[in-house]
Amino acid sequence: MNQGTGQNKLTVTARRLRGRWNLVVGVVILLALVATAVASYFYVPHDPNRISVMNRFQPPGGEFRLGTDQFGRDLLSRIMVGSRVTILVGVVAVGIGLTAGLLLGGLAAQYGRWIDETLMRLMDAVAAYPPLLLAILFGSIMGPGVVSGMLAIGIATVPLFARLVRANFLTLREAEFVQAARAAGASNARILWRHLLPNTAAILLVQATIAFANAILAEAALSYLGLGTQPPHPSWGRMLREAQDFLVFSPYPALMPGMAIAVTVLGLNLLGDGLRDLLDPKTR
Amino acid sequence: MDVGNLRHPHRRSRLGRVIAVLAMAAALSLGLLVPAMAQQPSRGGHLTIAQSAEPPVLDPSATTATAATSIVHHNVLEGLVKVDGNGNLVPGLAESWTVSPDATEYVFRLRQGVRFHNGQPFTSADVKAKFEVARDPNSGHTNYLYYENIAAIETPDDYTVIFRMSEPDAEFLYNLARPDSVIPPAGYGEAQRTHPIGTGPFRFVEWVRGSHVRLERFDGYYRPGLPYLDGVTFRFIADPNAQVAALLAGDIDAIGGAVTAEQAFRVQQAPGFKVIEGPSTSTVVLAMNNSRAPLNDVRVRRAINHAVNKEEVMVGAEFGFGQVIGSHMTPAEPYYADMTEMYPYDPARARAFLAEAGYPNGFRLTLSLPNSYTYAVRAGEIMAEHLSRVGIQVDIELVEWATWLSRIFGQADYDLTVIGHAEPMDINIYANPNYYFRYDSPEARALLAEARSTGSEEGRRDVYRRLQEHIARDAVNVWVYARPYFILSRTDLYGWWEKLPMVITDVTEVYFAR
Amino acid sequence: MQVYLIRRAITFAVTVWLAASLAFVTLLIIPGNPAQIILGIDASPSAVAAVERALGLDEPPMVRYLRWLGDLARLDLGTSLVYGVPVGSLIAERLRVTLPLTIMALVLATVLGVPLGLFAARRRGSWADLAATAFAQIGIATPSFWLGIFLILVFAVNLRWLPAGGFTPWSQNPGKAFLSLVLPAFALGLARAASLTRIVRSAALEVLSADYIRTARAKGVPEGVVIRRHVLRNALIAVATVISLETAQLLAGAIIVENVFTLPGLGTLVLNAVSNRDFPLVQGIVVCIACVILVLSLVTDILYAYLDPRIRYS
Repeated sequence: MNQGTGQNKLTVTARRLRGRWNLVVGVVILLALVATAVASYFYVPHDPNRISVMNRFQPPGGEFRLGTDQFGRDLLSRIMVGSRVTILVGVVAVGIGLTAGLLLGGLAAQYGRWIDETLMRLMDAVAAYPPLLLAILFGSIMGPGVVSGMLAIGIATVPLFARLVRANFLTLREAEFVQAARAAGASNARILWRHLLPNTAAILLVQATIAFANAILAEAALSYLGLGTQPPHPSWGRMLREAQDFLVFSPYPALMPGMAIAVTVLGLNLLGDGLRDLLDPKTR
Repeated sequence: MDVGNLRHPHRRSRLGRVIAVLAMAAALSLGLLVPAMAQQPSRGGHLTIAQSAEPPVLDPSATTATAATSIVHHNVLEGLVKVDGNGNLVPGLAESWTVSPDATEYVFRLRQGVRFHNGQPFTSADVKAKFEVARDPNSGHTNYLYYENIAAIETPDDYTVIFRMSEPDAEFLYNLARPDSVIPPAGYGEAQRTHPIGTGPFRFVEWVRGSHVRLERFDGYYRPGLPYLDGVTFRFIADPNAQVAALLAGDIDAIGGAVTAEQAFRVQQAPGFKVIEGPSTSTVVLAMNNSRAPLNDVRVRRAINHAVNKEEVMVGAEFGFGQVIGSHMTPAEPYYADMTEMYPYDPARARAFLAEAGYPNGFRLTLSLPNSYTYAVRAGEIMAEHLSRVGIQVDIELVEWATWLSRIFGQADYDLTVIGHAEPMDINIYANPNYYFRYDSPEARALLAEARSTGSEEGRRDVYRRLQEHIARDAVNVWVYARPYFILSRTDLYGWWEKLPMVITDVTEVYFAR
Repeated sequence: MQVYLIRRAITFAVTVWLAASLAFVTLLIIPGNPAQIILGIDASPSAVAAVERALGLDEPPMVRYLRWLGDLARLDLGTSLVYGVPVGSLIAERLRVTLPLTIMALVLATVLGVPLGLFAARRRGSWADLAATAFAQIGIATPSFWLGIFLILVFAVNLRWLPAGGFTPWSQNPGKAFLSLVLPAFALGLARAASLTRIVRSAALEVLSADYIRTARAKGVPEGVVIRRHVLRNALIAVATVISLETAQLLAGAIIVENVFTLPGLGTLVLNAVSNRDFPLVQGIVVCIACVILVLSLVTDILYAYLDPRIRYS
C-alpha cells in the first residue's frame, strides 16, 4: 500500500473515482427501480394478471418481451407491477428495523443499567419468538397481505439493528475522540449527533442493504406460506416461489424475477458502499 | 397403466391431449415403454417411498389425514373388508359375509389363524371392541356417523360377528372398508396412535418424526407368499423438487401420494424411471357458501357453474391430467353418473343467469384458498379469472391449513373456496345442512336415506344417480375435476395399484424385478 | 461481577417467560384448533369435542397457562398435543440435527467470510476486492432453496458424492450423519459467509482509516501485526455481534434448507408446531431458542469485554 507517492496518488484518485462510480451505479439502479414502479401505474405491456393457459411458458422475445409464466401471464408486466411490492417491503421492513433499532439500541447504550438490561432482554425475547407466528398473528388480525407481512419482517429485524447500534455506541463512547469531546463539555445530544451516529452509519448502511435483500426474500417465503402478497397480484418473491416448481419446463419465469432481485440487491449494495464513503468522516 | 396415459380412457382437453402425446413421444424416444408384467414376482428388497406430508398420528381411527392412511391402511392395519384396485369389495379379515335382504343384519365369518403383529390371535372379541368404540360419539373416534346404525354387535363364537342395525344400511359394507374401520388388538389403546399394531403384511418398526416411518415384513401374514418386500420406508419430503432429486439420486425408489404433474414430466424424461397414472377419488370443488347472499340464489350458482372453463382449469392446475366431472362423485367410485353436460362452459349464459338474478353488473366475492395445496391455489387463481370475465370480481385470500379448517370448514366463514375431497363415497355430506357448504335440502336427505335402505345394487345405482343429479341441478358447488393419481418409480418396480379408489399406498404386492 | 451474574440470571428467567407467554397469547388469538387438525376433514364434531376434552383444550386458557408455567418451573416442557410425546425429547431429538448443522454453517461462514472480508478491505479497490464483493453480493441475492437444489443436482444426482437429503442418525453411523449435513451446511452457510464478508470488510475499512492504525504503521509495525493486533481485533466486535444474532436466526431460520434436504431439524419442527397449533410444542421451542439466544448474548458481552478492554460491566 505504501509504494512510492506517485503511484499512491494515482490509487487515491482511482479509489475516489471508484467510490463515486459505486454511488453512481447504485443510484442509477435504484432510480430505475423506482421509475419502473412509477411507470407501472401508467403503462404495462399486458394485463399482469390476465390468464391465458394456451400462452404458457413462452420464451423471451416476441409478443411477450420476457416470456410468460405457468398461466401465460406476461413476465415483464408482472415484474413491473411487482417492483412496487419490492420497494414497499424493503423500505418498510428496513425502516421499522432501523428506526426501532436505533432508538432502542441507542437508549440502551446511553442509559445503561436497568434500561439497557430491560431493552436488550426484550430484544432477546423478540428474537426468540418465531417470525412465522408473528406473520400469522398479523395476518389473522389485519387479513393476510403485504402489510402484515412487512410488519412481521420489520419487527423480526429490530433485535439485530438494536444490538448492532448498542455495540457500536458502547465502543465509540470510549473512543479517544468522544472522550475528548466529552471533556471539552459537549452535550450528550451533540456527541450523539456529531460522533456516535456518523461513525455507526457505515456499518448500519451495510446491514440495512443486507436486511433489504433479506426482506425481499422473506416476502417470498411468507408468500409461500400464504402470508405475503395475495394472488393474482405479483411480487418478485412470489413469482420466484411459484416458478420454482416449473424450472424443468421453462427457466425464464424463475430467472427473470431472480435477476430482478439480484440486480436490485446489487444496486443497494453499491449504494451502501458509496454512501459509506460519503458519510464516513474519516474518508471524507 | 404404464408410462403416461397411452391407454387413458378418460375425456381430456385438447391441450391436455397434446401434452400427453408429447410426453408419450418423449417416453418412446427414451425407450421407456416396458411391459407392465415383465417378470415373475420375486422376494426381497427394501422399498423407500417418499410422501409429502407427515401425519399427526398413525391411527386412522384417530385421524382422517390421508398422510396417515396412505402409510398404514392395508400395509399395517386391515379391516373386515377391503376395496381392491378395481373398486370392488373383497374379503379382508372377514372370509365371507351375508347380508339380510332388508340390510339390517350383517353376519361375518372371520379368517382363522390370523395373528396381530404382537402375537395376539385375532378373534371376534377384537371386532366387537373396535366397533363399540367407533359407534360411541364421545369416544374421539373419527366419525361415529358411519357406524351410528349399529344397534348391537354379537359374537356367538370366536370367528363369527353379527351386526344388528337399527335401520336398513346398505352402505355399511362399504363403510367397513374405510380406513377408519381398521381393527386393532382389543385393549391395546392409545399406543395405537404412535405404534400401530395390526394384522397387515407389514409390521410397524419405527417413526422418526420429521423423517420417516419404517415397516418390516410380517412373516406371519395370512396370505401365503406375501408380501414380496422385506420392508418399506415412507420418507417425508415436503419439497417436490427435493422429491424428484432424491429419486434421481437413487436415495428413494418411488414417490407416491400428492405428486404434481410437473414432477411426473420430470421423472418421465429420466431414463430408468416410470410414471403410473390413474384416476383417484379426489373431487376438486369450487365450494360455495350456499347460505350467503348472493350465493344463496341458485341462479347465481348456476351462473358460476357456466362461467368456469373446467378443461382450462385442469390444464393450468394439473397439466391436463385428471378428468372433468359434473357432480360430487368421481368415475373411480362405484355409483358414478356422468353429469358433465349440465353446465357447459358458456360465459354468455352465465351473464344471462346473473342478469336474471338481478346482478347484471356482477358483484364482489372473496375466494379463500388453502395455501398448502398447490393444485387448489392454481385452480383457484384460474377460476377467479374465469369469474371476472362474466363480471364477478374475486379477491383471493390465501389461508393456512389450520385457519382453513377452523374458519372455513368449521365455521363456514367464507364465500368461495377450492379443495379436493379425497374421501371416497362422501356424497353424504350434502345431507348435512351444517356442513361448510351450508346446503340445506330435504330432498337430498330423503334420497340419501333411500340409498341406505335400498338393498338391490340396481336400485342403489339409480338412487345415487338421482342424488348426483339433484345436487348438480341445485348447483351447490362447481365440481371441477377428479384429480389424477401418480406413482413415480424405478422401472424395475412392479405390482402398483393402477386405480386409486382410496387414498392408500398398498405395497403388499409390490416387488423388485430381478 | 457476582452481582452482574445474579442480575443476568434473573433477567434470563424473565426473558424466557416473556417469550413463551407472547407465544401462548398469540396462539390463543389466531384461529385454529389442534383437535380438528389431528382428526382432519372427515371427522364428526363430536369426535372433535372428545379429542378437545382428552387434550385438555376445553379448560379455560388461564388454567392451561398456569399449569404449563407450573410444569416449566419444574423444568417439564409438557407433552406435544399432536404427536403425543414429551416436548423435551422431541426438541432434543431435533437439536441433534440442527445444532451441528448450525455450527457447521457458522464455521463455514466464518472461515470464508472473515479472511475474505479482511483481504478485500486491505486491497480496497483492487480486482480482488471486486471479486470478493461480487461473491458477497451474489451470495446474499441467491435464495437458499435455489442453492440447495443446485447443490443436490450437482453433488447428489450427477456426481453422487453425497446424499440428496435425509439424515442418518449419529448413533447409527456418525460418518454418514456428518456427510448428510455437508450439503445443507453449504446451502445455509454460503449466504452467511457472503453477508459476513461485507460486514468484516466494512468494519475493517473503518478501523484501517483510524488514527491509531496510521500511528502503528508510522512506527513501522509490520503489516501482518497491524492486521492481527488492531484490525482483526476491532473488526471482530462487529463480527461477534452479527454472528451471535445470526446463530439465533439460523437455529429457527433453517426451515427452507431443512425442507429441501428433508432434515428432521428444529426449523421444520417450528413450522409443524405452528401450523398444528401445538401449544406446548411451540412454547417449548420458544423457551429453547430463548435460552440459546440468552447464552449467546452473554457470551458476546463477555467477548466484547475481552476484545475491547475499555468496555466493562458492573
